[in-house]
Amino acid sequence: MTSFKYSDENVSAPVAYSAFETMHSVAEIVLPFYSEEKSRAIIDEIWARTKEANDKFNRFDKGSPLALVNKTAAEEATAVDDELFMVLEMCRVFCNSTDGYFDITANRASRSASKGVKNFELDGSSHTVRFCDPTVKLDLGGFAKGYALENACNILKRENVTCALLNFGNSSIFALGTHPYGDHWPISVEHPYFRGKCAHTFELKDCALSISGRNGRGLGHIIDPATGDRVVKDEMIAVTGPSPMACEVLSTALYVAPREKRSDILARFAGYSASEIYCLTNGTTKVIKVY
Amino acid sequence: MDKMLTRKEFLSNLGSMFAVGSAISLFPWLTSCTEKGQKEIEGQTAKLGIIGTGSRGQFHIANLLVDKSAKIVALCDDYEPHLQEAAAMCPEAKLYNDYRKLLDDKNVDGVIICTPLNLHAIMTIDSFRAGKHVFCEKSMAYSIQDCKDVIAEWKRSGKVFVVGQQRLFDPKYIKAMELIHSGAIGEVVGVRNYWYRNNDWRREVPSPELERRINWRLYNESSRGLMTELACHQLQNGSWAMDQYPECVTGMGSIRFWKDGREVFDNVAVTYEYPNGVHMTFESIISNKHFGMGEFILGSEGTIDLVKGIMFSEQPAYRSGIEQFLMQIKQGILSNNAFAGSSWSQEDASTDPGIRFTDKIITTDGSSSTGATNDGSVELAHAFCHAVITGQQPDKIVKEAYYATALALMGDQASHEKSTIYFKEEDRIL
Repeated sequence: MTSFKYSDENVSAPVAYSAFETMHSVAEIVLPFYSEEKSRAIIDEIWARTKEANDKFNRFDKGSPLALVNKTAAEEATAVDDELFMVLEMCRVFCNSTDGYFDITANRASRSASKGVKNFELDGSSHTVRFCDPTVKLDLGGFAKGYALENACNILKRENVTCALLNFGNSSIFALGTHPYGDHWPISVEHPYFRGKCAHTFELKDCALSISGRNGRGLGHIIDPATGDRVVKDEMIAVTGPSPMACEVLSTALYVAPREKRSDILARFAGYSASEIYCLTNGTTKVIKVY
Repeated sequence: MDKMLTRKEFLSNLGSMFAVGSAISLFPWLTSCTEKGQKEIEGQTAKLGIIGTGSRGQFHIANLLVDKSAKIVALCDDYEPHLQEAAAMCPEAKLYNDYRKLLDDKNVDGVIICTPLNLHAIMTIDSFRAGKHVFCEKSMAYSIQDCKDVIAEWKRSGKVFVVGQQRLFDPKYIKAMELIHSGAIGEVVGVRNYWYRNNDWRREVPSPELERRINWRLYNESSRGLMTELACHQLQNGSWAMDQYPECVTGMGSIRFWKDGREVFDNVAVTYEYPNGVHMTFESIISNKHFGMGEFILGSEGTIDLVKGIMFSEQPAYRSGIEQFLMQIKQGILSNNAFAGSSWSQEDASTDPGIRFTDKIITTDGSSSTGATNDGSVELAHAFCHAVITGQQPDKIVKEAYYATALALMGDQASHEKSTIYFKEEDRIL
């Protein structure tokens, strides 16, 4: 379902807003300074591209290319299109560069000694994927929103848009330029125990933000590749940097990784910053920067 | 607090809740709260006698003293301290020790009966026979047969009859029922009520021989305990929501904690079954107050918390994180709003805080044994004054009160017998 709103009441800053249900969540955009017609055209293209990614990477949709891979790749090398092949290659790179804490095979049933990258093989000449472990199922849930956000940013930049705010499910955000009435976009993290209360504010300009953690006291959705268990930690991890896709990967990996390993992993990504955000049940918050 | 202002707010709330006229067609007993109803009685007063001037009687007196449509002309109690306390509130009222003498007072148009449960039937019947309009506190009577006798006499008398089921006048319950009837929570699949307190339910007794008179709630001869004093209010919820009445009830009860010579249970758990298969529960414990008071209508698509005035969806809508910026940019301002966090997903339903469906929500925690303000009591008393002046019987009130009392009495019987009690056809009289 898509909604679209447009206001030109403020003649110096007409603004469009749109929301789109996708990836089991909602994506939103605020796009100032364009006519209604131009805004609609840009936003329609972004949502179409997002839907394309969702349709391709949704493992719960039996007809999706990823679901087909999960169904057949343990038995035979399965051909995939260029985009899915490229995504799987990128995920292997990210898996390596995060010491395996980012792993799209994390929810496999067996826990062999293998790291994630060794759980599937990619053949560049035939664009095929084959699982090395019959219990492997690929899950792009921790990657797809960042990837879709990256695509959306590329569309905005191609259209020479210099001011926009994109939000995918409140956890993946990209601020292009600044708020029309500020020198940044103020993005505040909501305290998980106190609805509406600000836990910490990021001032973003041409910058992405990704947050990983639990919703309040509940079990999280992120799986530790080493154990197969859901990761339950007190802190949230927030990562900022130029690429929404890299921020998404890093926030997941750093959340899973032990505290003592976070600095080493982060240091491999130039231009990215990370914070541990501890929100306490008494309403207070402690933010520790990862160095 | 200015009670008239409260009623104005009530009218205002009603007006904002419903399309013009729809409230009255849905809830016809609210006629007294409409502007038309107010004009009908402008400048007129109902001359009232209060029978039973203990805590609940004084609660009504306090409310009626600021109601321009009421004039308290007589007071009656056979316990002198209570009578004198009430007399201090209404210095011009005539005082009686015998309610039959008050009923002989030609200056009294209507009576408000706030006496122990076992006296409700005889006093109500005598009042009708004396030509008085009656507002009797809940529950209607001590037994179903007593209720039937009361209703038969009411019908013979042609007088107005109101019973203290004040939820019928509570704006959040009215709005909740409108939402339920409009299908906002899908099909009703369950009704859950509970009322927990942690106190002995006792009143101070100046002299031992007064124990059974002062603490009448604790003894079987004068009370049916938690079922008639607390459950009676909540058992209305299922019937109101589904417009049908249960077929049977099963229950348990015991004296678990307050073993102080009382005869009524200090904890009960009863379950009612409706013809459509829905079950309605009522639980009460008065030695633990952790859960307080709760009333919930459970639907296939949502849940309504009647006490707090909140509706929860089974599939809550996404709460936008950045739509706020649209308004800011429209207004040329920059401000901040917290929304970012770990991924919101459609599976986050259980953490949904729900939507408040009334403005200026006023909730009560059910801890008062006397009555809470803003729970519909003020409006109910005003409705009685309106009815006394106009002679118009408010629709449905007697039916709702009869079934609420009957269900409470059946629940009490079931919990004593530890059995299933079926609603007899001959008891479905309205």
